[in-house]
Amino acid sequence: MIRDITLGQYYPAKSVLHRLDPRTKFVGTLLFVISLFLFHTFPGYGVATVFLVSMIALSKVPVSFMFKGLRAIFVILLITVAFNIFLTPGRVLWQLGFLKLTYEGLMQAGRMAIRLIYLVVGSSIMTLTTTPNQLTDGLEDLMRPLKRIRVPVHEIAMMMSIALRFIPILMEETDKIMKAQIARGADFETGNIFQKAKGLVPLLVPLFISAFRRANDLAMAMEARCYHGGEGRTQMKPLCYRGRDFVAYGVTLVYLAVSVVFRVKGI
Amino acid sequence: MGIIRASKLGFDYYRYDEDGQEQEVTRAIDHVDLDVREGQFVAILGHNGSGKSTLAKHINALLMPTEGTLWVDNMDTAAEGELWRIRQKAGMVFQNPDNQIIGTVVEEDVGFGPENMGVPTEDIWRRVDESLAAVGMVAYRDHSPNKLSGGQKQRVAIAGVMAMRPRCIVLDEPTAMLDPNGRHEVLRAVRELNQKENVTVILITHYMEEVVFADHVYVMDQGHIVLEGIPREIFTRVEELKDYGLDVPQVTLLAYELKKAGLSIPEGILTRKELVDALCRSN
Amino acid sequence: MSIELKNVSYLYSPGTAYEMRALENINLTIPEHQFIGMIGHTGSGKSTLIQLFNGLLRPTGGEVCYNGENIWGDGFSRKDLRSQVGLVFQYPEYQLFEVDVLQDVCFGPKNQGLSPKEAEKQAKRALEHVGVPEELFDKSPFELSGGQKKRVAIAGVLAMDPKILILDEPTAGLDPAGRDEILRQIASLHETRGITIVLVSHSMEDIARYVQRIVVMNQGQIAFDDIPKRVFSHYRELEQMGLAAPEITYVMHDLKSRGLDVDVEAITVEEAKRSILRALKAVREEVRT
Repeated sequence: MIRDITLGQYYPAKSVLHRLDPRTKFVGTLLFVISLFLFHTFPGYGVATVFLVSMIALSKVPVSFMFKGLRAIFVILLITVAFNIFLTPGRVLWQLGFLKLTYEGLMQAGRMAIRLIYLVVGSSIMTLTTTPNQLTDGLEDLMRPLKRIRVPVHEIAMMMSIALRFIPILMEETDKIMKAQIARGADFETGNIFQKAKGLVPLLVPLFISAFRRANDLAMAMEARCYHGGEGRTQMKPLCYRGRDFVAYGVTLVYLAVSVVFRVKGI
Repeated sequence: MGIIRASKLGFDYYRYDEDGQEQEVTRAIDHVDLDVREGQFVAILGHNGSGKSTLAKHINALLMPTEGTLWVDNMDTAAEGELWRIRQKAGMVFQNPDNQIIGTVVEEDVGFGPENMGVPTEDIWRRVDESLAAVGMVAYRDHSPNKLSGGQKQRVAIAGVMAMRPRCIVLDEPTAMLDPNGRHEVLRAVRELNQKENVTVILITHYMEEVVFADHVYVMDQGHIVLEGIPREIFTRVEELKDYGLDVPQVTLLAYELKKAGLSIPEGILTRKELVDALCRSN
Repeated sequence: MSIELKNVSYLYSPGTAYEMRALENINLTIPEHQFIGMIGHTGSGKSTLIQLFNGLLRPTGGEVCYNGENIWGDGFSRKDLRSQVGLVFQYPEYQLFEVDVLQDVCFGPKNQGLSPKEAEKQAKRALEHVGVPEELFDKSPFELSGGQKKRVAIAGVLAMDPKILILDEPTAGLDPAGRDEILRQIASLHETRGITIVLVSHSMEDIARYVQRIVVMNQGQIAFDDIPKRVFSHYRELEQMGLAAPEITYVMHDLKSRGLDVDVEAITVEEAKRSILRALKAVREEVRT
């Protein structure tokens, strides 16, 4: 499961989405997520589905990658669905003891499930078609106005970028440390919550130390390559809106408008 | 005037205890003189703790000497205001392949140095293309560094340094964490850079096999330079090298043992071919 | 004690797009008291294989048996197995975590259920066997040098008193002096404790010097399983697998092809020296007569 997190995994391909400015994709994803909460009927979700499916097709990323991220939220999804199905008051369709499966529950569960799934898939499209550096560049640019209130925008973006780069490495390291401690008889499974927490020490201490060591090495390497903060830096892939970005904004705004209309009209 | 020059260099490590009181002082480098000419391939050998890595970090001003001076292209590393120019002139590649790659895509990492230097966008791309070609990693430019082998990662790191157009590259035990194939890859790339682009190379290592092609070798022990000369000279000092915690390649050791047993073969045999030729000639 | 692998295979991510055959058709027996070396190019399956020995990974095909019992059979405790089959990973020093050296080495014995006193006894014994001096016992593991840390990590596994100890590249990252030191300690472990040692390494010279038997892995299969001299006599095939024989082997073969009657099976400097001297003496005597 550790390797299944789609976060930070860029899939190289030459698609329209790959070529869009990351800011466009950020804003687009945000608007898409908003639309998911505006739509609340199945015709509405139908429109959302059409939009999502077209994005998936445009991205040229194999569909299997999109659904990798879903494995991480599988449990949350299950819990959400179960809660909604059984604990929503309404017209009872089936009963087992005090568990009442209601029509409204089914509807609500369906809505939640769709929102959650589409949210994850939608965000995945963004991270799969945008390199983490582009993502942080985009975020840095969108956050620029905050510089006026002394927010260290560049530093935040750099920290995020480095964190994304090291997530897979630290996950692998966690795996290795776990195996080494299991080889010494450590048990990460049995025991109550206190025992399990204590049992994590042989995993967390080496992991933290390793992370600090990496940070130290990385800082030296960055300094050796003349990194001295955000002042005076140029960009290899500067952000520049192109025609296709305006088209994308246009399409997304139309789509959002549709979702607003649907909501207002009660569809 | 050598491109890298050190005069009576000294460096102390201070260790402080929990109250901030000075607890221990270790003299990591003592009285080191160095003169590296442009275009040379220089090797610095030493066991762990001999001071070689500490010396390496002085060359690109990651550390400042406690005594003496180090000049990079006639710039004093301790002088104010020259820091970034020095680091551009003397690039450094470190031991751990993962902990020096910042970008999440190979070409973006190679561009990191030029970005920091304020190089205009178009030039950055030109440099990235050239550097990747120089280390043979153009095919991987779109890849995530995570999927690369150790040798490939180190080549990306070298490309990242080359993109800054340094005059000299310092490699601090670049092959210590690699398998034999990775080691060959990296050394081949470094040799090519030295020969084709005339980049001065300073290779810090404890593997004797890697210094066979160097122009000049320095051996360090306890912070001092204890031996220096061309590889052939150094390789004859088998007993001393062993005392300094180093190991000679099997071929050299065999030649040394045979000579000790009375055979008349030349000194400083470096390669298998030389040994076989020498033995066949001796009868 | 013995570990037996019968027709073992291992697939990563079976049934997905990332399915990768790491091991295939592995038949191997590891008896007691042997000193075995394992070599193979990166990706040949060595790391996967050693994790099958102590049940960290489960074979997708075939059986892994310990003393005749299938370790994945009902009721078999793999936790107990790991006390018998000790595994030290590459760069084991990165797994140290306790406040001091002694406590860290006690981790394994404590997990076996030993009392603190018993655990300390085993820990001290293990530390002695890997050559860690007593004055380091109450130091933080993070204050030690690389080589010392490695030895403490090995002691951590040794303290569980395993019958077989598997070490994955124990010399990785060490300088020549450190490398010699660790290998000497490991060889002496084989003598003093009488346990089986499996040494996974990339250094042909190190392997040639110490082991009694070499298993060569290539692309998930066992290519050779024999005594060192015989394995290295296949040096051309080893090259094609991305491996090499010790430098000495090449020297001896070159000499032989140039007409000098040397023992091509020599794999250490000592053997080579003796053989060459003998051969040259014979040539001189021939010339005289």
